[in-house]
Amino acid sequence: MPDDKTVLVVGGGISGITAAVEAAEAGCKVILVERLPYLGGRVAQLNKYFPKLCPPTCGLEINFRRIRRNPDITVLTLAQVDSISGSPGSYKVKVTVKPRYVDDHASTTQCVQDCPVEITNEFNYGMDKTKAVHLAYEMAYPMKLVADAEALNKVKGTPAFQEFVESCKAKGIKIDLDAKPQSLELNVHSIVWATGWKPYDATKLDSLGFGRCANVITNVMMERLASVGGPTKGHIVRPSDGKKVNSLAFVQCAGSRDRNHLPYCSSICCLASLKQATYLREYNPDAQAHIFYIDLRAYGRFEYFFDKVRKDDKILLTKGKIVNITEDPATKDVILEGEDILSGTKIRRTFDMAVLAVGMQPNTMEEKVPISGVQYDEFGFLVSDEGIHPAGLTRRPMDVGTCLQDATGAALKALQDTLGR
Amino acid sequence: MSKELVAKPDLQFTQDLIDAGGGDLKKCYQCATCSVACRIAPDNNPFPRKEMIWAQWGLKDRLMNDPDVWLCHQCNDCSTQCPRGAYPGDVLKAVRKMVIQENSWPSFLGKLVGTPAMFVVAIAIPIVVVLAIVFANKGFTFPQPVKYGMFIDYMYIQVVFTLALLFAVVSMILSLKKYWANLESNNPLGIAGARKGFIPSLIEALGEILPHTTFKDCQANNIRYAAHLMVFWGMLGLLITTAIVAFNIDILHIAPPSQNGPGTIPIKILGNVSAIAFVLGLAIMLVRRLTVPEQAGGSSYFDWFFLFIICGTGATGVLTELLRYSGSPAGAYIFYTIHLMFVLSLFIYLPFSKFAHLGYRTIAITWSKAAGRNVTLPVQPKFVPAPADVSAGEEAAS
Amino acid sequence: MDHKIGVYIDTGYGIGEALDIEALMAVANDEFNVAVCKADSYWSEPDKLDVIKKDASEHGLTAVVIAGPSPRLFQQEFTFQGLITERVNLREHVVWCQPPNAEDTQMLAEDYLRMGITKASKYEDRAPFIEPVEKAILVIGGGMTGLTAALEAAKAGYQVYLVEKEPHLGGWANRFHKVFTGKPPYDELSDPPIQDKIKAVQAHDKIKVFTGHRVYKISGAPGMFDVMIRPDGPWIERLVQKQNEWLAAKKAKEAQDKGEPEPAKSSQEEVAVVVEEEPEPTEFPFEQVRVGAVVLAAGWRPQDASVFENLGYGKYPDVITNVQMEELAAKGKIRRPSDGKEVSSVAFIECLDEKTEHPWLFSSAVGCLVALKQAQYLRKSNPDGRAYLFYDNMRAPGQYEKFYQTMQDDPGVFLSKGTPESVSNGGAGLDLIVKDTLLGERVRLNVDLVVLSTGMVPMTQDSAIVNLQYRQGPFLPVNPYGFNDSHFICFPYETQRTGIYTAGCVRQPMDFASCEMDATGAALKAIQCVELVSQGKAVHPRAGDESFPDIFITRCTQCKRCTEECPFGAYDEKPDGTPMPNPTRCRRCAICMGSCPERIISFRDHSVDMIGSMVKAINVPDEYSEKPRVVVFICENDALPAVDMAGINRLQYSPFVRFIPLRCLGNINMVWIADALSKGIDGIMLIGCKYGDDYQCHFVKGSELAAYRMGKISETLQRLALESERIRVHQLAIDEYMTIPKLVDDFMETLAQFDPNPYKGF
Repeated sequence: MPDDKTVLVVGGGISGITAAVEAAEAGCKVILVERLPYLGGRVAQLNKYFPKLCPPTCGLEINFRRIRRNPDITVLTLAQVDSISGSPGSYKVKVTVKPRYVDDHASTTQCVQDCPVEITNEFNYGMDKTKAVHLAYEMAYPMKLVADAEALNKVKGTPAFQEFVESCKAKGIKIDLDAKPQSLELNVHSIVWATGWKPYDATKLDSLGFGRCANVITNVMMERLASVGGPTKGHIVRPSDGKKVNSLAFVQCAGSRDRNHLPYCSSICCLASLKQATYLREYNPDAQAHIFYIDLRAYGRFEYFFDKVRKDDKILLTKGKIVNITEDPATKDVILEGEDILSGTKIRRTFDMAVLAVGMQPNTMEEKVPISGVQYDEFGFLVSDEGIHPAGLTRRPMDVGTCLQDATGAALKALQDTLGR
Repeated sequence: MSKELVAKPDLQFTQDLIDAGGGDLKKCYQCATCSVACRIAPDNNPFPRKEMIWAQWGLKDRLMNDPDVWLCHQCNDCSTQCPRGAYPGDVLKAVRKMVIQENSWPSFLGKLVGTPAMFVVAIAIPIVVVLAIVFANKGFTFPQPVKYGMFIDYMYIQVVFTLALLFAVVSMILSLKKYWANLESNNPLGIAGARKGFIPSLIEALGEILPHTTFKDCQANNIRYAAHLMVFWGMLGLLITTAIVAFNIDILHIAPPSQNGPGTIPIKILGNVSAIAFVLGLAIMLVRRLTVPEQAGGSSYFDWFFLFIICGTGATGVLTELLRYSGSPAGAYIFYTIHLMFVLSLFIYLPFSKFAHLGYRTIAITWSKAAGRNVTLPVQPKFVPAPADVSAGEEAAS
Repeated sequence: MDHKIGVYIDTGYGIGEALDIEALMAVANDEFNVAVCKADSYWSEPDKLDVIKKDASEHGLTAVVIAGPSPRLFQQEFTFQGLITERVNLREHVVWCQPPNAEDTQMLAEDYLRMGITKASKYEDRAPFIEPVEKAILVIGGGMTGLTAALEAAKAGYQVYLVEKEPHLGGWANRFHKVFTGKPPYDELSDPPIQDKIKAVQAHDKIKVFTGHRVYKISGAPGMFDVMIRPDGPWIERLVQKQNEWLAAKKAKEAQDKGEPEPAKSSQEEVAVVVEEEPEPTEFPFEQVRVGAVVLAAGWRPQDASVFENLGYGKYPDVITNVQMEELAAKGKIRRPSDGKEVSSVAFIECLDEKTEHPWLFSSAVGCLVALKQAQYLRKSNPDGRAYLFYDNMRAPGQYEKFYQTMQDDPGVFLSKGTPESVSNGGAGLDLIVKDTLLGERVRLNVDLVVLSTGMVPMTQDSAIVNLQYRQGPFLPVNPYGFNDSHFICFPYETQRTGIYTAGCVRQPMDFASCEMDATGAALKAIQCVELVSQGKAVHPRAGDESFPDIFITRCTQCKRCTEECPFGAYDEKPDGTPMPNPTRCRRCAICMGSCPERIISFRDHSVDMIGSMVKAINVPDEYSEKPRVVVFICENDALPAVDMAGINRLQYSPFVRFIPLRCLGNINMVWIADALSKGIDGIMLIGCKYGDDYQCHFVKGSELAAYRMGKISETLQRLALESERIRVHQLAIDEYMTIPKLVDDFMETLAQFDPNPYKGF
């Protein structure tokens, strides 16, 4: 039987973090399990939140502080839930924790520069490279380096690598590629599932040129591009030639509301594009942003934001879905095709760069909760509220603020389970 | 666009479209993917997005007078790319059926051909007529060697079929005149009347139709291009053959090809080549319809009726000829009879069946040419700030 | 109290190579003669921690100073039972942003160590504020949200009091015909699930329901709120009128105070405590309950539709709102208000918010969905009926897209983008003209009924509802969007009144499914609040903080600044005009500490004297040394991490600045400025969060207050005959760390234009 009031939260994104700290501050012991080496999930990769245009790290920092201060929260990164058995009030959970392969007494980032191996930087959606030993991002929590053992094993034995290992040792950093994963068995009263989402795979949108055209990127990549910690240190420039972007197109519903891709609406992409238009306008006051949409869905108080943004005469809005994107081989400009519905004429327009507003796909679509009896809807969102409690994107597409409300609610559901029935 | 539309949705019309194969038209949410996916839609007022909402709103007069539905060659690019599965291609096809029915003269024949329930009646008519001819001759007696002239006197055939054809042509012309008038007076594109003359426009149109150039643009399934081209020219070839033969018999009093030698070989060749092209083309269409409906589009009764007649004509025609050589008189004569039935229905139903599309499409394309419908707008250049700003931009980027 | 201090200098992380550790230890030993001073690498390692613990017991240490990496690291490791821990950041703030083994780098490190030891020596020993608290929870509002909040809190074992002004529970859900299920397959409507909820609430032995009652007043503080619940009656109008007068007076005062140096002097006492002087019968029926926290779920009302005169509302009886439509539909067959004729055609007009400039733009949170829902009412009530929907943007977020599709498929439903132009009498029905439609032109329709989508106005717009007996008035402050929360993205439940949490449409428009979700969250926050205060701990954002403000009241001059500037209304006022602290309302931001000119407000681990002494601990070289000194007060929430980031990125900047973190920039006290300047500090910078409508300050207006106070510093400077440019205030977002070197170096350049501060060496 688990010790007093223990809650397992799976997923260390903003929903999981919130569920964890809220439950802990309400008197629960919490184990927070995250697959990646750091907490923060997708919001950590955002540049700013709408509608306040404030940096996510601001709120994350406070939450990390709440975690640091709270002895009742145990954070397991690089950890994955293998199996769950039991029922509300008493679960047995098997968890595997992968090693970091490097122990650096908290982020002496000095050694990173010396690392001889480079790997694609997943945090920046592959837009740049990072060292095989690195800190996921500047404000990463826990502030610990992680090593890509696979990449390093390739060069294992080479003098360059040995040299690197030595130089690290000199700085008190141990690199151990032979470290083994450890498996844990946890006893908990209740479980909150907040494994979040992933951006829809834009390569499936054949006609929109992602992968074919150098200057077609996705909305999540745009967040990194605008972010000071991103591949361009916040310069909004074209991937093809590093030139400053002066005309930027936003392609709404790229794969969303589409029976061939994601049939539902992700409900935040419109606001995200409005927000990203302000990134461009702030970075380059001469630039023009053009948003092509079917319905511009700014709901509730977000209309204030919509109102504010559309007052900018250099942010254009056109009703009409973009159907084809092609590339001018010479200039690498992108040419968008659609219909301006209100004027009833076809559009063929050239831009420096295009951003595909791809939707959010729940991770539970592919990775189900490893216990039977959990209900999902046709899109892969978790339905059942009894037993395993969904939080945030695991329940339905929603904005960050709503995720926090949802996660806080999930925390109470979890707390109720701990009381025993 | 400053016109005002008094909207009185005609639910029955919407229902008719749904029954005629446009079953998913309500699914459209006006994203305009279709208008852009379509490679032949003009850049101003492209189709089929506008047709879709008119259909949803049951705006009959809009669609009845909309030439664009005939510009569509049914490649179904729009249907395959539609994010909602509304199948605009099928909706336009349904509209075309309604247009044929709406304008047909006499109108009851339009209904007759268009309604599945009336199928029996529809086929009964040619059967009765042909049987009448047979019995007006010697009935089902099978003289040897097989000479169709001995079975039925050509006189009958000429009179009846010429009349049938005449009727078809007259009714087609009347229907098309009506349609042309509609396009001129109340086309929904806000284009006031033709700007170019009819004849030059017609010539321009034919220049496009005969070589099937627009068909080529429909990349979704360009095998259709080949198939339709074969059927089109095959049929034309057969028509010419028949015409020449008739001409020879009646005017020059030359015996039909079957009865004399080398002199008429070229006609035989023309006839046979046309027949082969015709049958082959049909076969391809048929197979595609059955195997790849996604691309071929849904098939309604209206389609099948036309295919039935045209395939029947082709098949029985071929059999008639083959059986003649195989020397089985009974079979030959019976298939000859059936062939005549098919040919007759082909003639009399021409203006009311899908066959009529050759008329309507020609007219619609002609009208569009006249109205200068086929606009192509240039690619708009990208926005560029004042030069000073750009240079500022560059260094910031570096 | 005087402390026995142990100092532990970390030589890891490259600190040992960059600094003269001996000299550093000398500072601790000689200047402060601390009990223990050791240097070693990686003190966070278990074996090293044991060394510290051993020293603590051997030397009877009361405080340890760890000089090493940022305090944002190893918080748990460096927490010792019964020991005060003070952290000095020699890594991010010294060796990672300065050249190694440079004289100035060494001086910087030594100053930070001095400041750290000084700070540690100033900690006071004060027990946390623990009083017997009541853990019951008050829920205001008996609609879907309130019922859910009550039920969920009760399920967690807490006593709940539920107050509903109407004679019955259920709120809008009672009046709505159908609602969305919010469950797969998402394409159906169901009856409002309210009856079961009502039953469950009424059946629950931990929930006491007061229907037909209102909250008359709430006094006290989290853990000890005294709530007076009174049967509904005419008294409410009088109360609301009073409140409005109070609000008007406040607004007038604020307007008048614009530009005045003094903060808003309270002209408000006479109305601040509204209820006391209301001409009420002294004897009236009421119920008194004590609760620990409050969930405000008062819900919404439809926006006043008279703004839609242009669309014939008020002129034609058959132009109605979507709320009226719900009531029509609930009656069965839908009939025209004008003549009772069965309705066969309805035009629904959406997204009016995008066309009309009226204060409540929120119809489209649910408006389009409601219209689709009501279109189905019509089609069910009259199979030949026709529903026309005109929208600007069809808003069916998330899985609601499915319901939109379902309604699209209905042959009797006609949808188009469009802007309504006019509604006029069309004989049989109403003539509606709509422009910019998808049909390619303006459309004229004749319909029986026109339904306008109206906005949802939170009830808190009309009256205070909670009727707080607070010095700062009866209202729950609203954010720039007119709702009762503070950080609606990151911390959506935080209001400016501790222990009071809003839920449901009182905070933002939402559908029933979201209301239930939201209510559950608010219930948890309420539970959290009562649990934390029962342990004498602060709630968000300094959750768990056991310190609290202590006032040396005998020196109070009744200036009232603390009572006015506290963003959370923690202070009431005693009859003698001195502040009456309510520790459980306090969020520990220490803004009051900054506001107090008498410097009599202090926390056990944070006081005017403590920070002042730190400033004084800075070694100021004489004016000929060309080594200016600058003190930078920074917000510990955003600016401090940003400075850490600058270090992690190895950004280099002037070695002459000394950062001093504060709980919030609003915590800045003028006396520190004076202390610094009179000690010869050449310049002072304040770096805090962004403020304004989209403020990022975690204490709502701390950084704004700091800027306001600095605006008034000029006379101090004139008194000292110093240039006003010597003080600069900056707003910095946490992700703007790249700009820190520029901020600092620019300021140093400015100072370079002036002579050194003449007070050096005094």
